[in-house]
Order: sequence, then structure tokens, then C-alpha cells
Amino acid sequence: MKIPISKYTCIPFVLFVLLFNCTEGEEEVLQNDELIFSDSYQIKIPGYQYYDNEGNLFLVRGDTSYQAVYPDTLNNKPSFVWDSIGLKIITVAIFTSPIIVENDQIMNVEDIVWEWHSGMDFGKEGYVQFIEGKNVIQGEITNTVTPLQEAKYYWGVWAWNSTGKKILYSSRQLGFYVLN
Amino acid sequence: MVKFYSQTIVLLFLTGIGFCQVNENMVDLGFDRKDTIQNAQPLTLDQIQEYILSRGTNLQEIIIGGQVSSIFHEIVDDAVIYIHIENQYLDSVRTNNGLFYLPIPLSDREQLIDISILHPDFHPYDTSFVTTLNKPVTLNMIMVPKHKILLRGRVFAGNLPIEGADVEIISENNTYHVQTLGCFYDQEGYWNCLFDGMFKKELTANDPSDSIKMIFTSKGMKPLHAGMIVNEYNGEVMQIKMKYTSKLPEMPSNNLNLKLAFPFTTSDHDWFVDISYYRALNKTNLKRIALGVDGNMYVSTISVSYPTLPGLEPAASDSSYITGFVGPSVLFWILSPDRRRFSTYTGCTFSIQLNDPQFVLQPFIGTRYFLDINKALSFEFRYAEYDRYVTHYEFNPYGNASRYSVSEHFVKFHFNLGIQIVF
Repeated sequence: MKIPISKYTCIPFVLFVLLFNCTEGEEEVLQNDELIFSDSYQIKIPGYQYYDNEGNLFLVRGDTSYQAVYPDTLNNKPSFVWDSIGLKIITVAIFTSPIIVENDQIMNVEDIVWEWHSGMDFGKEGYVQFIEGKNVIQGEITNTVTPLQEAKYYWGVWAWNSTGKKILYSSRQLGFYVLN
Repeated sequence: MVKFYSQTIVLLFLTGIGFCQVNENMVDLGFDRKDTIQNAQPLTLDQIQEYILSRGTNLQEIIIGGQVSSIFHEIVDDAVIYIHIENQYLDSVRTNNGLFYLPIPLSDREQLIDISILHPDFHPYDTSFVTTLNKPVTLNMIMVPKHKILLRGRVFAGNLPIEGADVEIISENNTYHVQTLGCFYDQEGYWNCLFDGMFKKELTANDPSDSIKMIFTSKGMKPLHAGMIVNEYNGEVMQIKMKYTSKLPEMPSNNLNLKLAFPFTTSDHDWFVDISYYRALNKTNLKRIALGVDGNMYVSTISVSYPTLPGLEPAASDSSYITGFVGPSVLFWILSPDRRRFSTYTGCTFSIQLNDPQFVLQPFIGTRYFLDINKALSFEFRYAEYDRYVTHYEFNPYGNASRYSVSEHFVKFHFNLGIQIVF
């Protein structure tokens, strides 16, 4: 009986080649230099207002104040609001100087003075009060929270994907001035 | 006389049906009418007389001549005609294109002439007449054919037509041997498999109730005996199914394997693909040992877990890894490889891991089950133990996570399903 060997032998080799050529598709690289992390999606910060304990009203212009000549003037315990994105791993931080990012890494970590993240006991993603976060000293989160001193600060929000490997969303960094 | 005519009509009717069916099917299969009948048409009586007169006249002889044809108006060639005069044998002649002639001596009185016509495909024909002095005798004799069928069939093994199978047909003490056809290039250059596994044989029987016996034999198949009577054959192509013998006709030397394991048949829910080739040692004492080369790979999904922000559940990341192996392999048949069912084997592949070069042993044990003459399914258990680098991640609260590789040890045990081609 004749055996058409060539017809059958090519099948496994084709399968082998196909399997070895299977690679993960690269995600589309985003580029938005106005964000803290330029290759991420945007977290939008709307204009909002909040009251302090004495009933004083403070207005925050949100994204519209980005690169404004005059920053918002806030109290020493500001609240932070952003459009919720529903991610589990997210952080808000206050810096004493503009946020510097290189190679998807914040370089001036020592400038952080206050931070809130989604692992903390209080606060919810999208709205955080100052007392719900913690002070940061030399990049280490402490267990205390003390009011800010009078100075100019910068704040921003960033969030990771579900595996915590990549920062998927970030906001613009917004400046504000604390007036005691 | 009445009985003779009634039998003739019945026979004519049956034969007519037989011929009609045969012809229709032959047209379907592209057969030519020449396979069973001749195309030449009988001559008219005037034409026959003209033929006889053209043989010449001798005053001392009378010409007896004529034509032999069938009831289907077809000439009967090669019929033998015996002539007796006054019960004395005179001579015999053969028809040529249905025509014959024979000079007989002139007599001064009327003579009784007996004529017998014999042909293997027709019933014998006998007739007598008296000559009328010296006039030529023109005869137009019509014969009744015997029962004739074109026996056709296709021989299968499962669904696969078998070419070259021997078919022995026994009919009326005659034994015929034919072989089934294979594929071929036809006159137009096309690869024609229309008649693959088919045979045909024209049979002639005196009686529709005569029996036909067929014996089919083929390499690697059990002999098959079949029988019927002529009347039972309806002209269709018979479907003959043969069964395989319990052992292969020849000890296979080479086999080519493709094996697959699925997540539900592997210990770590991996995919496994294997391609291997083995060649048996053709020495008498070592015929159960085969050497070959084996290439395979595990496609594994490995999950790593790591802490993220304090107070949150650890995150997990799944990554797919392809770990390839290639190397020589030795195989030993525990049960003889010429068994069609469950010829069991064991062996070991001495492989090199392609990603991180290291020596890895892969012992295995399995069995195979032939689907046809050269293709088999295999079922195998395989074990492998190896190290490979796995990427881990460290969460970074101020940027993307950093990654690092850790060498981990894996123990794999799986069941795979394969297809094997033996040649």
C-alpha cells in the first residue's frame, strides 16, 4: 500500500512552528506628556470645593489650573477629588516640588510630605480628606498626619493595573499654595 | 413447443433486465459497452443471400451459409457450427463476423441436414432441414444468450478502499482471479480514483439460480468469503468490507509521532506537544528496540504572587512559558510492535532543554492502537523534571514594578494522546 508520507509529516512541523511563534501582543503605547506618567491614561481632576472645620470654603480648579500662573490657595488640610476609575491600587501624594518622573519612576520621592493610598483604612478612591492620609518622611510613610506648613505644594494621583506591574492611569500634577 | 417459447420469453425478459442494468451502471462508471457486447448489427436476409452467392458456385456443390445472431440483434462471433448430413458428420465451421458458409456435395436426392451451433455465452442451438436439390441454402439463426451479469464490487478496509486485493470468483466450475484497481492517471492526465478498490468480472450462467462464490484476500486482512446466486445480483457495485488481521503483515520499521497533552491531562495544567521519530533495530534479537529523536515542549502558565500596597491583597501575575526539549530517545516494545491493538512500549528521551541548557530525562510508557494499516493512536504517560527561570515582580509604589528571574524546579507528569504514522 502506498503511503503519502509527505502529506502527513508537514502537519506537525507547521504546528510546531506556529506554537513557537506565539508571542504576547504589545499594548499600544500611550503618550501624554502633560500627565505625571506620560505613557498612561488620564485621571481627570474636576473643579471642586470643600469646607474646612471652621466653615471656610476653598475652591480647587482641577485640571483647568494646570500650568496656571497663580495656583489655588488652600488650607493646611486640603481635600482631594478626582474622577473615580475603579482601580484597586491607587495613590495620592503631595510634593514640596514639581514631580520628576524618569523611566516610569518618580525620582524625587524625598519631596513627598503626605500620601494616601488605597490600602489605608480610611478614604475612598475619588475623594480623600487630608486626615485620611499619612505624613511621609524621606520616602517612608509614617503613622501620623500633621497639617501642612505654609508653602507651595504639588499633588497628583496615579494608579496601577490589577497586577500592580504597570502604572495605567495618572493625573496632571497640580500646584496649590497653603496659606495658614 | 409452447414450453420452449415460454421459457425463451422468460429468459429473454430476465436477460434483458440484466443487460439493461449492467449497461446503465457501466455508463455511470464510465465503462464501455464493448466490455460485454459487440456493436456490429446483423445483416438483412438479402445481404446474407448476396454474401452466399458471392462465395461462388460450383456445379458439384451446394453452398450452405448464413448468419448467426442473438435475440438482441447482435451478431454472434466465433460460434462453432457442426453439420451432419443424413446423420453423418460432415464438417464444422466458425462464424466470422457472424457469417459462415460451407459447401456440401451435390446429391441427386433430398438430404436431411442437422446443424448444431455452440457458443459458450449462448444456449446450444440445434436445427434440421431438408435440402432442395441444388439450390444454395441461406440460414438466419438466432441464439438465446445464457444469463450474463457484470459482477462489480468495491473492497474496503473500514472506509478505505483497498487496491490490489485478490478476488477469486468461482462460478459454474470456473475459477476467475481478478485484482481490485487503484488510482491512476487517466488519459487527460488527471489522478483518477473513481475505481479505487473496485473489481469487475463478466459472468455467464445457464441458470439464474446458479451460485457464485467470491473469496477476497489482501495483505494484512482476514480472508473474506462471500456467496450468492446469480439472480440475487442486482447490478449495483457491491460494498465488500474486509477486516484487519490481529497482527500487521510486516514488522514496521519507522514511526513518526505527534503527541498532545491537554491542561486536564497534565499535573500542572500545561499544554504539551511532542514530535518524535523512531526506527526499529532490524536485527533479530533487537527488533523490539527502536532508536529515534524526540522534540517536545511544555506550554505552561505560571502564576507569581507579590505584595503591593500595605493593606491590600497580594497581586498575582500569570505568564506563559514555552520550555522546549530535544534529544535522542530509545524505545522498547514490551508487547510486540506488530500487534494491531495495544502494542505497549516504554522508553526514555535523553533531552537537552533549549531555554536553559541542561540535561533532562523523560521516561515514558505508552501503548498504541492501529486505526488502519499504517496509522495508529497512541496513549502515553510521561515524566519530566527540570529547572527553568521564572520572572517575578517587585511592586514599586512610585513607578512600574521591577522584575527579576528566579530559577525554579518543576516536576511534570502527564498523559498525552498521539497519532502515529508507521512506514
